[in-house]
Amino acid sequence: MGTATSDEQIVERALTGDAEAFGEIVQRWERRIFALSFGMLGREEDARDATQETFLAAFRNLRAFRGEAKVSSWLHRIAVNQCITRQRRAKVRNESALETEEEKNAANFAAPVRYSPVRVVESLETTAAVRLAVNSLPVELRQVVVMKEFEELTFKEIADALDLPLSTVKSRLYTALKQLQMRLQKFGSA
Amino acid sequence: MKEEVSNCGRENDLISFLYGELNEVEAQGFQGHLRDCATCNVELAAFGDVRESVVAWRNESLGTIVSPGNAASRVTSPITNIAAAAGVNKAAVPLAVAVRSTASDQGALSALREFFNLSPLWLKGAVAFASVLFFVFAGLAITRLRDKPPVAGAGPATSAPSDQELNALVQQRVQAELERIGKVNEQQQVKSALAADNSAPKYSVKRSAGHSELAANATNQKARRPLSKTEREQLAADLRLTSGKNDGELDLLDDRINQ
Repeated sequence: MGTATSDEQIVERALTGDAEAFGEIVQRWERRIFALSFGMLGREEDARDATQETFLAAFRNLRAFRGEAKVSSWLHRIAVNQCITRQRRAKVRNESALETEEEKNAANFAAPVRYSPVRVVESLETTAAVRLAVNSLPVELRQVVVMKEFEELTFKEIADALDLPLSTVKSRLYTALKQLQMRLQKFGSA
Repeated sequence: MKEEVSNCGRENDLISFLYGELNEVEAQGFQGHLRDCATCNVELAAFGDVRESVVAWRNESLGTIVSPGNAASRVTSPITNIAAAAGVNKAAVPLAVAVRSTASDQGALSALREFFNLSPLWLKGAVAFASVLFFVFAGLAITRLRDKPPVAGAGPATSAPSDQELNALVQQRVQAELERIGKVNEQQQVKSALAADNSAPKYSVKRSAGHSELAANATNQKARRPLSKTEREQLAADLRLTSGKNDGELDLLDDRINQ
C-alpha cells in the first residue's frame, strides 16, 4: 500500500488517542479481512461478525502491537485466529457452515445434485462444489488458499501473517491445491 | 485415484511459478524444467483449472469489489468508525457486505427465476393454480366483507315505540283504569252509604289527576270493601302485575298502539 501515511504511522497516531486514526486502518483493511473471513468461514454473516471482532480485538490490543510485524500481518493473524475460534465454537454448537453432513459429503464428495445439468445450474453446482471443497480442507490448508486467492497476498505476506516459514506456506498451498484438484475431479467439474 | 506425486521435488517452485512470484531468472529456469518434467506439466495445468474455479467462486461470493490481481484497483469505502463504537457496540455492516447484500438480492431474484425455469411443468401449473385460487378466495372474502348481511328480525313496518311514548301510554292506561275503578267505587259507596252506617270514608274520593291519591283511595276502598276475585285479577292484569292467561294479553299494548 503505497500511501503517504503507512499503517504503522496510523497506529502511532491511534495510540496517542486519535480515534479517527484507527478508522483509517479499518477503512484500508476491512474488505480484505472480510474476504479472508468469508473464505475461511463460508458464510457472509459469520464473515461480517468475524471482521468486526477482528477490528475490535485489534483496537483493544493496540497497545500490545510493538511494530515487530507489519500491521497487515498483525491484522491477518487476528482475523485467522478469530475465524478458527469461531469455527471451533460453531462446531461445538453444531452450527458451523462446515456441518457434519457437509463434511461427510465432502469426504465422499457426494454431489447434492438433483436437477439436470443445465448450463446455469452446472455453474451453480461448480461454485457450490468449490465452496464445499475449500470448506472441507483442513484449517491450515484452507488458510493459505483463502489468503492467496481471496486476499491475493504474496507468500511473504502470508508467511508473516501466519508466522510461518515461506517454504511451509508454499508446501501447504501445494497440498491444498492437490486436494482440491482431487475433490473437484471427483465431482466432475475440474 | 492414485495421487500423482511430483518426484522432482520442485513443488514450491511450481507453486511460485503458478502464482507468478518467481523473478525472471527463476521463471525461465522453471520453464526449462517444465519441458522435461511431465508431472509438473500435468500438475501445473490441473492447478490452473482449480485456481480458475476458486476465483470464480470468490468473484461470485464477493462480487467485483475485490478485483483479482490488481492491488491498486481495490476500492476503499467509507466505513463507520469502529474505534468509536469499540467500547460500546459492534460497527455497522461494512460496505463490502452491503454490496454483497445487494448482489445477493439480485442473486435471490435470479435464483427465483432459475427455480421457475428449472421446475417441471406440473409444478409450474400447480403454482399457477394455487395463485388463481388464492386470488379468487381473496376476492370472495373482500366481497363478503363489503356486503354486510341484513339484520334478521323485525321488519321495517313495526318500529318499537320510544321509551317516552311507552311511559305516556302506560300512564294513560293506568289513569283510565283508575278512573274506571273510581267510578265503580263511587257507585258502591253510594249503595253502601244507603244500606249501612254513614261512616264517612277517611279518605274522600278525589277526582284529581293525582294518581297516587286515586291509588290510595282505591287501596282504602279496597280495605273497606274487598274486591272480588274477578275484580282483583282484572285490576292486576290491567296494571300488568300478572302475566296474561294467554299470549294475546301480552300484546294488548302493542295492539292498542297499532290501533
